[in-house]
Amino acid sequence: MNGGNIILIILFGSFIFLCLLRVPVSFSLFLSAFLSILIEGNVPLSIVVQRIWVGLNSFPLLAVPFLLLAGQLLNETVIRDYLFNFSNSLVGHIKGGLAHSNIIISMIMAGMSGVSSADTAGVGSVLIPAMIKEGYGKGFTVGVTAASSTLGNIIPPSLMMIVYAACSNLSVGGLFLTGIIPGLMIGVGQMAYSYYYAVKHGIVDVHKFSWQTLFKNTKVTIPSLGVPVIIIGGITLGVFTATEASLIAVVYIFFLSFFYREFSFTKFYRVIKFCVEFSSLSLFCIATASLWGWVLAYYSIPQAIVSYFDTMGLLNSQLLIFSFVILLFLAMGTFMDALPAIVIMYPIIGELTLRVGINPYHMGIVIVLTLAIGLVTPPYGLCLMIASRLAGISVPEALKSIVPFLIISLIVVLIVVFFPNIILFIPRLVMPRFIR
Amino acid sequence: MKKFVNLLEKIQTFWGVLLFVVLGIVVFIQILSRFIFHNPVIWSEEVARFLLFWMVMMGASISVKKETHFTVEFIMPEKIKNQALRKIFRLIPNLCILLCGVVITIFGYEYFKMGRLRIGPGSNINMQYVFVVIPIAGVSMFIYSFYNIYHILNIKSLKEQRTGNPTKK
Repeated sequence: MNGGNIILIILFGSFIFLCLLRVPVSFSLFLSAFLSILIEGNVPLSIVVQRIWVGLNSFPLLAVPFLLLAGQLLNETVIRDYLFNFSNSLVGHIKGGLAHSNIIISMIMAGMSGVSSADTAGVGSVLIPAMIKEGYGKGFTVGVTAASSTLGNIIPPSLMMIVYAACSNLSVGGLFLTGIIPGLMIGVGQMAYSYYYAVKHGIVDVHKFSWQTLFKNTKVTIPSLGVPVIIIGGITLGVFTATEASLIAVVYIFFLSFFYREFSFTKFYRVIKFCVEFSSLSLFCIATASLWGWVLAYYSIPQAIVSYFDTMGLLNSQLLIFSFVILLFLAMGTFMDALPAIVIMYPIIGELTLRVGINPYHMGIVIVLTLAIGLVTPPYGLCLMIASRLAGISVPEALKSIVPFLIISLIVVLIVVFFPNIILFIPRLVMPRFIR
Repeated sequence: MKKFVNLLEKIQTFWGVLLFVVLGIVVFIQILSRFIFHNPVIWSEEVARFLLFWMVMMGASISVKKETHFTVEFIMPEKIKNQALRKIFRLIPNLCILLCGVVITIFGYEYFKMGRLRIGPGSNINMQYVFVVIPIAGVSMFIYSFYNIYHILNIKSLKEQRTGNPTKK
């Protein structure tokens, strides 16, 4: 146990120290794990490369590059414009029409891609200029675009959920299904706030509603709406694995782009290049994090930490556990990317969930929702950065307008914490064998 | 040196893209064989995992050169006025990656040698073909971070900061 304590200090201390010096997260994880093994001296050092290999040798993780590609392809094709026309003819007649379309299109795209930053860039480049022209405040425009795109990681499919499922051996489909209700709640909450904003600031922005345009736009959009059906339906019914479903989505979008005569080789090469680089960043981080987590588990540190919590009396109340988890992941999501945050903390969270007897899917959705908030909080709020760059304002300027959206998300997190039966209703209905 | 590094980056990028395309085809074959031919192939899942490993190691190396690996945005070098201090904050990550490159190369090579007798059970691929990418990635990470250090030491003022955010151009 004494050896474990020293390892604990070296592992966490050097990791945090290196991170603060701006050493990339993946290399900080690698170096701190290497250092711990070196100092302890009982484990052969070649374990460091072996764990990188083992961490990546997983079929579910293959979904990461494919989902990323699906999201990028959507933004590059005319499908995005169809979706925009569709959502505009659906909700454009409500006060604050463009804000509502922004949220609706984000929700639909969330059902096609699992990557929030792709949604921000895709939706924002069209809707931010249009909304500013209609008289919305720049801050509000950034807020609604960035906040609604976090739904990309909440409404299935979702990269965060795939990584969480890969860490914890939960069913990807089951985790996906828990995201539907909280995602809808956040979407509706954001629309309610947009309505309030439009009324308060006297923004007209009302488009005429006609059944004819809605019908026309629906007809054009139906082929694209096949994507979420394939992914969510295919995975939850057990027809495909998450990896296969995301590849089918890619092939389907690819086929559509052929159909709409938009295919070009240079575009395709550029998009794939971006996906290779971006997904390698996340996956390499996951690989070194799995090495780090292995060191943690080898010295039984998660058990030691949880036992320590036990002696402090923290394990008696689920509420305390959840507040600890929410605060921890809010802090981590603020400073670093969500995917490594999941992999780093999972050994401890998993042990905690097991000991206290919380439903693992309940814990999973709370963590995903909390980390999604981190996507719009600086300094490391990718979605907020992209949206404010598109609107031409600085991140601190946008910060004030993002606060109401943060409150909406936090309220939903609290609802999920207190009423697990609401969100576990759908997965229990569809996959009764997996989720109790 | 610049020419060589840029060429290496281009080759690795192209190779990564190629691996990704092949990866897509392999997974697609797996789906087709199950649903259309009702005769699932046994090698596809394993080959797909091997390809992913190769792809990630390539992408991770390229990102060392581009300095786009995820960082914790606690200290923002953009806000530091002092040029020397700024330089130091860009040198430290690269020096650490240099060290990682050495470690990955040494132990990766050892692991590669151990893979000689191992064979992937589903595909009969000798694991050396998979593990060889570990020392390759180690060496290229070393080269890229060395190049970055050389570059940072030789420029007068640092205007652009690319570190940590892959969406910044």
